[in-house]
Amino acid sequence: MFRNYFALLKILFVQQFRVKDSTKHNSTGKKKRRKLSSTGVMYIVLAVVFLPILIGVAGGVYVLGRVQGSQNADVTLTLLLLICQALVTFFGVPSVITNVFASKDGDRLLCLPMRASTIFAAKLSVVYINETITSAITILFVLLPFGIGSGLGAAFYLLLPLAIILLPVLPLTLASIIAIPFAFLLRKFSNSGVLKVILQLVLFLSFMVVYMLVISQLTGVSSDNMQGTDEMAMLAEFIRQIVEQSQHIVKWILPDSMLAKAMTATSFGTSALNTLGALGLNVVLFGIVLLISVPMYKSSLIGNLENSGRRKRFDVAELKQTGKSKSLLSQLMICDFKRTMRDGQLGFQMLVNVVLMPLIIVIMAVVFNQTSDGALNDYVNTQTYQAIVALIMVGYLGSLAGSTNGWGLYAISRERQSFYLLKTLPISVKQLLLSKILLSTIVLTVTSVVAIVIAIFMFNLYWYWAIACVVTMILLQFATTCITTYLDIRKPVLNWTNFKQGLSNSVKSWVAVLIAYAEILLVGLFGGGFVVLYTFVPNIWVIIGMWLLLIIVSSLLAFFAFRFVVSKGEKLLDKVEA
Amino acid sequence: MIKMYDLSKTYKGSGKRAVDGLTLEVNSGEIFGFLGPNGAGKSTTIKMLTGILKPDNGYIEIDGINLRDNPVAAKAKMAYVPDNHESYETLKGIEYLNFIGAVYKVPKAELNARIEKYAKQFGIFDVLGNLIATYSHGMKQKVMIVASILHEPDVWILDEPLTGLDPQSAYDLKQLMRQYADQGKTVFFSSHVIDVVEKVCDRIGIIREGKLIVVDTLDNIRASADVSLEQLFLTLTSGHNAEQAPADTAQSMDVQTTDNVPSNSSDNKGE
Repeated sequence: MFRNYFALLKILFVQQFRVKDSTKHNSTGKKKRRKLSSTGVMYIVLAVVFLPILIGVAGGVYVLGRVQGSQNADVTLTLLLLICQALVTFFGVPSVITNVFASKDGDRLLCLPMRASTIFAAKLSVVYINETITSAITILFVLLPFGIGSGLGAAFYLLLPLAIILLPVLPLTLASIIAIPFAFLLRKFSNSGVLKVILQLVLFLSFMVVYMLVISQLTGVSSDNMQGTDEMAMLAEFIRQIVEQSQHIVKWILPDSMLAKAMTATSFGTSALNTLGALGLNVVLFGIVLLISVPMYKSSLIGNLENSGRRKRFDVAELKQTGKSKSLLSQLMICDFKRTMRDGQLGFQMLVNVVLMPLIIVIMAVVFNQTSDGALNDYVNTQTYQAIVALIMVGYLGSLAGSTNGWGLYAISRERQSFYLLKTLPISVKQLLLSKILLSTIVLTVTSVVAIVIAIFMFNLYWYWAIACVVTMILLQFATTCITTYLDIRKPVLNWTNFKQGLSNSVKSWVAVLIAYAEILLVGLFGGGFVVLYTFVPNIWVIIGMWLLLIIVSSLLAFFAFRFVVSKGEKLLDKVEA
Repeated sequence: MIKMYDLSKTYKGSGKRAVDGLTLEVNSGEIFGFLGPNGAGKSTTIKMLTGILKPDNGYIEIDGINLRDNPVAAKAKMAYVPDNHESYETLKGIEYLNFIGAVYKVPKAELNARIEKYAKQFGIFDVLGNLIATYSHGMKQKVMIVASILHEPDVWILDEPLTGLDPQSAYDLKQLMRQYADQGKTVFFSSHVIDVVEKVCDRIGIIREGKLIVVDTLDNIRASADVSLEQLFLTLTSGHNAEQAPADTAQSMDVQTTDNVPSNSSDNKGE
């Protein structure tokens, strides 16, 4: 059994790292050097942008550690572990769904002399190993600075590698357990790919909401005792309240609390006992996952392969009803949308990223209301407040659309092998790209409108500024989609079978985040200047002028971005060869 | 009509040319069979012909329209039945056919009539409401075939079209190909099944190691060489007469090679 397990694990990893872009490379001499140097520049830019953020987080946690000290540090450390696990969960749950339950190689594996438990363990191990990378980064920038700031002993540093290994176990265990009954439910709806995707999304979002609620309950404190004192004293009081509030609860999250106790222990015996306890518990958890989920996994896999679909006989009356005269552009978009949403891996990934937008607005509103304690109630009816809230909506949501929008970022890659068939059809590159960009913009528009409507109610945004927001966002999203689509057509990856490994870990995802930052900067520069002007010249026409300028700039961006991607598109797509 | 002039293609990382200086004309009103062993360059040639690959050299014309200069117009004239059906599996059969109809601008009433006619002829009408992913291999093949003829193309390119078809559907397809050719259209068809090629095709071409080594009508082959197509193919491609070049072998059988095929090509438009 172990031989099969390791053989399968090796194959899955080899596949993961061999998924390359499908362009014809001319990688000799000058062009190769230019390519290497431009790649190097890009990595430097990414480091310059992201490193300060990570360093800022690390700095903040260091200060937290300094204030906390080593007393009751295990409680705070447990909370930090939970927060780190939230990140791992965020990336890990979709990974479990796409790698394990919606994988595309079931028919090849099931016919091999290999148990379903072996296949399940190997696939889950791949997810787990990928998540240890996330785990390592979060530990490096969150736990390590805390340990240094708190002045923790040798046990903390010696057990950090173990923490990296154990951190993903609980989130993946929970994800797998929760996925099991839903997998059963999803098979019931296997006729409708779209409904299946929506159910997966509901599962994921419910899980995240519950996780966040638990963390907010543990860390929600009153600000009553923090008034009129200096910042360090306020922070110390904040920490004291969190520890007091949460210690009775976190001690029951045994895998994390035992690990935290082991890392903060001053005696070898205590540390060793808690280490063994944490290790044992995580092993038991993983074992429980295998015991419960393997029987369900095999039937879920077979169910996916059977995929009965509709069995109703097609008739002439139905033929007359379908495909009512539609333009080529609308047919391209409709078929693209249906194919994406019905794909078990693609549909979920595409939807989760855009549903995040309204969800984040809700979370922002809840946090805002909790922390402001009504302090801003007097300002909500001022034009300054309205302008600032609207600009934040546009900047933040627009940037989310750029950085997480799979519809634009994987415009060609999601076609996979179908792209070659598309190349044989009489469809111009311009039509193809326009259909991709428009589809992405329409999907984003729907979620933007939902997000803005929520903002109207939760942030008291005026409806007419909300309309200005939506118009600006549509134009900015069109422009951003053009750019992210260009990134994809430069290096499309058509031979992927696993979305998470083949696509979402690619460099272009990070470049898209850079583009998102650029968008925030643009909105901030243009809009911020007008808001400042308004404080000196409180005339409504200043704000109106701000929106008009934003709309004009966004329109120009959209126009030129589209022209750019179309002009480059033909040559680039020519290089994509079977 | 298909005109390919001096086509060459080398894949990245490979020093060897997959297709080397291929020149060929396929006339209207004929079924042309394209044969070759595995790795000979058949698929590469077809991919260049259908616009999937860009040739390193040479040009292709479809009914006089240069594929590189005017790809959309050239592709509108032709249809392609691929050998690989792992495409559009998350669409229903009818959705895919409607999509293809819209791409080729087939009027709705005619599209419905042709879908009904051809889908019933190939026995897939009843399942058009299901996802293509639920179809068997043969049914997927039939969907591709039906989709390719909805716009009644002037040039019909088929790559291993009979694979997976039941005998009735295979017969219907062969009849359809013959019908198309008799209407003055061009049918370009690649297959490993030599018996079928022998029965169906008017002219055949054999490619080996990227070079076209034989182009001749089947009547000539039968009359002159006194060998079956299978024997000719095996002799030319398996290297039984290793001391002779394929062209010499063919000439000894009195079969036309690319060296002595009358050229109808116009002036060189090579890249």
